Amino acid sequence: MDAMIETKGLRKEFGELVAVNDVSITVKKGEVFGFLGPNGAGKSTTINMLITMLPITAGSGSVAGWDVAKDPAKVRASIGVIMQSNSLEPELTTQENLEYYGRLNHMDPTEMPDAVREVLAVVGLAKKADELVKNLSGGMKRRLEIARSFLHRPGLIFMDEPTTGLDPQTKQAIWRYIRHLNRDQGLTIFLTTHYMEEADALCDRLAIIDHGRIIAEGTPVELKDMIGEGDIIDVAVDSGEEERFAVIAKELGMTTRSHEGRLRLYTDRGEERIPDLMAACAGKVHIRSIALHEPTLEDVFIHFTGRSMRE
Amino acid sequence: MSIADDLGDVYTIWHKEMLVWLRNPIIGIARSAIFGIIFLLVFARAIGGDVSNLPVAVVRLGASPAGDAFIADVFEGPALHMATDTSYAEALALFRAQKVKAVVVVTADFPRGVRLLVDGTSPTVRSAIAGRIKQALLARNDAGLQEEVLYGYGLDYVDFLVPTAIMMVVAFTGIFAGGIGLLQDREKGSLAATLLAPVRMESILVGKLLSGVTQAVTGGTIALLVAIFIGTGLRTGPAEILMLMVVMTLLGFAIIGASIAIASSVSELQVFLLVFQLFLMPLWILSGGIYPVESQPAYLSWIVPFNPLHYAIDAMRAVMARGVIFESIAVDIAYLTFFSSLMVAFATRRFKRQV
Repeated sequence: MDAMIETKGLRKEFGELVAVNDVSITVKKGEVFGFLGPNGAGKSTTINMLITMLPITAGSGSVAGWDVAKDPAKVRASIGVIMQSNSLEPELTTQENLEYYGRLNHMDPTEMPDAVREVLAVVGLAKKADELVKNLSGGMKRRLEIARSFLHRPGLIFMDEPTTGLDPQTKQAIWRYIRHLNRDQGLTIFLTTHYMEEADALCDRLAIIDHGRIIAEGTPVELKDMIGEGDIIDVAVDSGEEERFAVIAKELGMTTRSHEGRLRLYTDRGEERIPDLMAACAGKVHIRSIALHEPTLEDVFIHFTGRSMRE
Repeated sequence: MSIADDLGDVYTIWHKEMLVWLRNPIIGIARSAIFGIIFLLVFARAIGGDVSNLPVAVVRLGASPAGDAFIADVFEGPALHMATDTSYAEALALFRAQKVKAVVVVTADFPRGVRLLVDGTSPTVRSAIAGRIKQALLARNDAGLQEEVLYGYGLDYVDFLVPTAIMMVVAFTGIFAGGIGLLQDREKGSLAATLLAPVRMESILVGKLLSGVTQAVTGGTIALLVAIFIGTGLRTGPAEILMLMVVMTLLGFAIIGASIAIASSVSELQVFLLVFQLFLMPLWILSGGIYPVESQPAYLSWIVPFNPLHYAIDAMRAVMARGVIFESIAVDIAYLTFFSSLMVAFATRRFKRQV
């Protein structure tokens, strides 16, 4: 079984609204596959259909080899899920939460204590085993949910926006655990996110989804290449000197675009162009800052949809 | 999946709910005890005691030994208190000034010409005074009645309210464990994780029903223990307690089934409470728990044969006053069984639909 998830023409309608439209994807065993898109793009709806929580309107989907419409119980038994919002029982301890979930998944009671200890150790919560979940921080709760998702040894884990609402440090830690599950535990991971950097940092492959449709699919590098090889130079100049700067840039063969209050140049070999720009501007335009960056998935999103994701 | 698996799932859900419940014993268990104490010691005593020490003025128009003996009889016991023995005019003035609740007039022709002027502001006070006077008059006329209490000898209003307290604790605990618990689970998100597991909906529902019934029966039993501790003239032997627990269980299934069904149909706690109050409050008031159902006018009394709370109260009261007599509770038990089955079926239907 090479494909852990396979959908063909997956569609979901809520009355008049088409939330998911003709989504066909294949997620291979052992990869981290990401769904990247703004809020309301259809990411959670797709996940909910794949984890059998939402009936599908049209098309088909198979998860871990089981049809989501025909064998929901088999699908559920083969997956771990981290939902978008917290789904732990706050009045129980860390350990009790895991044991409850393990029993619900029909784990062998004799294996439970070791399994609980192991997953808690992986996410660094071994010392919090007897702490009530309501006393844990937001980041700890997320880690506990990660621990819970692979407690019963599923082959595949769904994560719906695993780091939304977490501080940058915690986010980094969660990324580490996700990589650990993928690389060291050999789990296939399907995640959704609206953070470009998260998709970039974690995903082997990803699909960009907007208004329920997949608009681009590939590895992060492939997607960035789709908007043309090259670099982006962002420049800030003294106010009133923008036009004079644009003229100088044009003389050097570069087109200036104004993007979110900054001047942006698209060019090849950006690192070689910066000294040229500095020299040409000397004495004419005062450059306050200059920065070079490679295209990001944000740029990919803008390229395909014509708008920024942070709207 | 085998039946053993399903039963295992039911146990898993039950066990988790009980763990959560026992985490806050103050809320779960003390609530039942506190409610029992307040209801029986404060509410029942405050509204259900016999009125006593009512001030009454006496006016004697002419001498009559029989009349004097009658007056002595009237003021025997704690109910009435002779405020004054005076002239008619002064008695009327006192009555007008609310210093006395009634004026009794006896003439030389006793037992003819006895008059009672009584204040009707409080029906309870009025009937207590009139009752006492009539009783004394009957005794004078040698028309005394021999009263023999066959069942429930020596019971007072606090005893009357013991089944009511148990019923209310079962109902409240059931609503908290069933409907409100479900809405909270949904809000906390923990319901989603449960629903995601490879477990049948029926197992989840049955687990929740059973844990709710366990909590409700525990609560009701605590209220019963409070009543025993306070001291009650009711029967509370092992057979009676066992029968009470059967009634509590049936009532628990009915309440928890109904509350889960309603909670599955609404999205917000406020709406749930509104819907539940709409049904529970009238059914409770009309259950006969506080006042006999025989007092209800026709436009209310038609509800009685359908009211599950009435049957629960009736069964518990019968068991505690008369002992476990099959004929006296058969109808109650039959209806409660029917109604709770109906509510559980209703809950199954709605609970599956929300998923």
